[in-house]
Amino acid sequence: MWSPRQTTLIGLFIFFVAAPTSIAQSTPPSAPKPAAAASDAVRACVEQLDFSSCERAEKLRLPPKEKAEVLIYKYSAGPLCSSEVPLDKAIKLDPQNALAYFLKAEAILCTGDRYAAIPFYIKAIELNPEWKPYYVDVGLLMNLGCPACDSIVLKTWQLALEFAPDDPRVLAGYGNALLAQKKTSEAQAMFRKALERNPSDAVAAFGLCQIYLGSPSLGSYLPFCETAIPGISDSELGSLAYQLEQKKDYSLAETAYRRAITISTRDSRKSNRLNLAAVFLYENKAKEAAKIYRDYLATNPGDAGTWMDPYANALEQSGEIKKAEEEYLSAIDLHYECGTLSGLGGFYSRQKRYGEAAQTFEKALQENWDCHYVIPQLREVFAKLGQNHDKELAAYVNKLIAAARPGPEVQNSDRYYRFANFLNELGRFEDAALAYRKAAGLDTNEVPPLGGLGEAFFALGRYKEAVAAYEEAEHRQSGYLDAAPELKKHYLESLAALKGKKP
Amino acid sequence: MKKLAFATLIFFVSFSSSYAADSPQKLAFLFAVPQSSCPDEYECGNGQAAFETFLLVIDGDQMKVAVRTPHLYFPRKSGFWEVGILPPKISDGQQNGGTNSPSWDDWKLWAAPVGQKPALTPAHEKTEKAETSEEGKETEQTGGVRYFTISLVGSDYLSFTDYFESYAGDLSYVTAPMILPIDDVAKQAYSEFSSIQPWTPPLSPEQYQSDLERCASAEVEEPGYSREALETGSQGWRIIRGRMRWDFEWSLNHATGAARGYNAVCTTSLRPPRSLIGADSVKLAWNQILPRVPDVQTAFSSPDGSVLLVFTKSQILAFRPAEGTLSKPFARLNYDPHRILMSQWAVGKYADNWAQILSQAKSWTELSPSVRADSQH
Repeated sequence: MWSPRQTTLIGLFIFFVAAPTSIAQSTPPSAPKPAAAASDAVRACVEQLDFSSCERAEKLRLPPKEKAEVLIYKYSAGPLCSSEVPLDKAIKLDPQNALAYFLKAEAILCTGDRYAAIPFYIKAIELNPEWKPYYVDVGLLMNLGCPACDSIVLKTWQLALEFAPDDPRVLAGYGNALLAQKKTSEAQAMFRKALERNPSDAVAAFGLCQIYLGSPSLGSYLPFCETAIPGISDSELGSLAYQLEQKKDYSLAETAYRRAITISTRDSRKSNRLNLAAVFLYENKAKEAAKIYRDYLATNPGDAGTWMDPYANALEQSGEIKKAEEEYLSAIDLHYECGTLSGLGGFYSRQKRYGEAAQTFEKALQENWDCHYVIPQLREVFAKLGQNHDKELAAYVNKLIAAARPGPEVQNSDRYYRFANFLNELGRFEDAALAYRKAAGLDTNEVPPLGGLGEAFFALGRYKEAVAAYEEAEHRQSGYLDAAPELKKHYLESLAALKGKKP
Repeated sequence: MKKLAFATLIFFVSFSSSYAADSPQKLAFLFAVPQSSCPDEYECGNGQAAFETFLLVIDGDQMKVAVRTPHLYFPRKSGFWEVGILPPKISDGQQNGGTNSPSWDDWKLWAAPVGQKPALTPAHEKTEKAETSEEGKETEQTGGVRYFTISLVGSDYLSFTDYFESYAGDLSYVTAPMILPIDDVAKQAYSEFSSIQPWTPPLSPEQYQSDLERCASAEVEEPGYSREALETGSQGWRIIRGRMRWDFEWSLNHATGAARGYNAVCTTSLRPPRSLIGADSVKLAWNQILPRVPDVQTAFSSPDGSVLLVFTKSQILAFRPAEGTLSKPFARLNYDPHRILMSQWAVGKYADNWAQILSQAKSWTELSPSVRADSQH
């Protein structure tokens, strides 16, 4: 059983303050032996779960243990997840009643507080050793997350395996506990054992799928993920599909999202459908994607500002150009902002309607100068329009900068930082450096402005100043450059340049 | 379809035949639940595939899922039937179920022989009514929330609840549990209150007073449970699966007025008659089951009592009780717990018949898109 240290840990749970009852001394629950006068009511209560009889029996003068039994069966006769009050009374009357603790744990679980339920299950199992197979259920609860269980979860699974070796959940459950403790190879072995026993064990297959998705060198995730998909939960499917999407395994991601949609609740079904649409776009199934967006927008008109643009994009990809343009325009009507305007601008650009594209991008920047990701697109469009438009672009950019420049009354680091980024995007590095320095000075806790300053000087080839800025950033926040590999690279190149080596 | 009806009829006729004492007969247990991972059944699969029916076949010491289908199929004397819920049609810019769409409350509960299109009341009748009455107009403008939940499907009766919240005018919150004859639902789908006369149990004034007294004295502090609220509430009856049996749930609710939305659920001394729930009793004392399987949710005994199926939170355990006690389960299946909505047994060769019929059954919703489209109001 538990080692002394583990018993101490379990003691953290409420009821382990009392000395644990040894197995030999424990009293398994037994049918009550009521007084003759009360026997009918008690029997109808405990045998037939007749609620009225339970109520009658509760009012009788019975020995404490028998009264406790009546209360327990009265609780059992009521609806699932009823109030725990009769169980608390039963525990008070008979503190060694295993059933009372077990049902109390179940009642707590109904409230969603699985962490609080665990010690009651353990107490019940300790009082009634016949219930040791329920260590599987306790282990599964611990697997769901229980901070104080880390040190006892594996011991619990050992007991589960010992007392419920045939339980179909035990091997995969144990495997998941091992995986959570980063004992990957042991987890892998446990999952494989589970799959040997039951080749369609979705939980075990999902375990291996997760391991191999994270470490492709260990094996192929494909057969395990495929086995897992029909049997795992909606949230697990969502997470798996996302991982598969990152792996660019769009076909399996599609399968996972499709399965998730069939079993998910309304809210998660919405997001699963939208995610499936995104996968369809990767798979060049733009028509299917467009259908999802269309259905979604029909039932969620309030979200049109967000999803009209992807819908238009899907229509465009599926060749419905006219309809796509209409939808891009509708998106702008609903949400006149940089995102939707740049969507339409991009559409015009792809349709080689550069004049309209330039106008739309300009509108996007007028709407929000901070929308700097539009600038490269605008520059590209002007390039397509030809040399004559250089001056036009320069004039427009100057106008934008004037509009974006913070007024003298603005003394806000973030505002200067955003302005500096904007200038950086435009290639105005000198001005950007000044703005970064101002931002760094306005808030001496802020680090990114110094990183930006380093980048601006690096772009200008002013390596000494770049090194100084990067080092000042590192001084403000140790480890900053390690967390920003691109900046670190430029820092090292700047140092090299100072030593006479070309970056 | 004739073959299907014939096979089921045979089952019903021979149900009470004797059983071989030495070798256990093959058994099949048919049960239905709301669809997996579907907290509110109306939310899943647009109501069409909101349920799942399982057929377990128990042969010797083996138990397997012979059929699992995303429909609610159940046996009647005339063959297998299907029951379902049809939510309002989704149209552009409108949400399903709880919105301002003109047809937000146009839910239908239907029943029909498997594969046959059910009778569905045309929606225009209600629309016309809504347009011609001032109250209807207001309801249409302001919307509300409505959904149905099924709690029992027997051979001749079903029990369900119509939840209706109207944001119109003086607001109303109706929780209307009811028990309806399946034949009546088959003639015209249930869509509006009082469109089908519900079945109610005969409750004597003495029983009413005694049950009311019990409910009022229960340890519930909600205002709906005050004696005054209970005495003035509208009575509703439904049947739900309890631990050992199908039980009545008696509710007293207030749809309008200051107490609108109050809904008290009370225990009752009445038990549903066999005409509603069929032969249903656990042939073992609960104090023999609970200490053995403390996480038992509900249990079912086979007609001959040779097998006890115990549904827990994660498994279905099959026992062979001996002399009124339980030993170890002889078979088990993993199972996601759900409310049981329907339960029926088949014995001997009819176990295989059911498996064969149900594995080939096609819901009318799957037959042809045009059939479905036609039925969408």
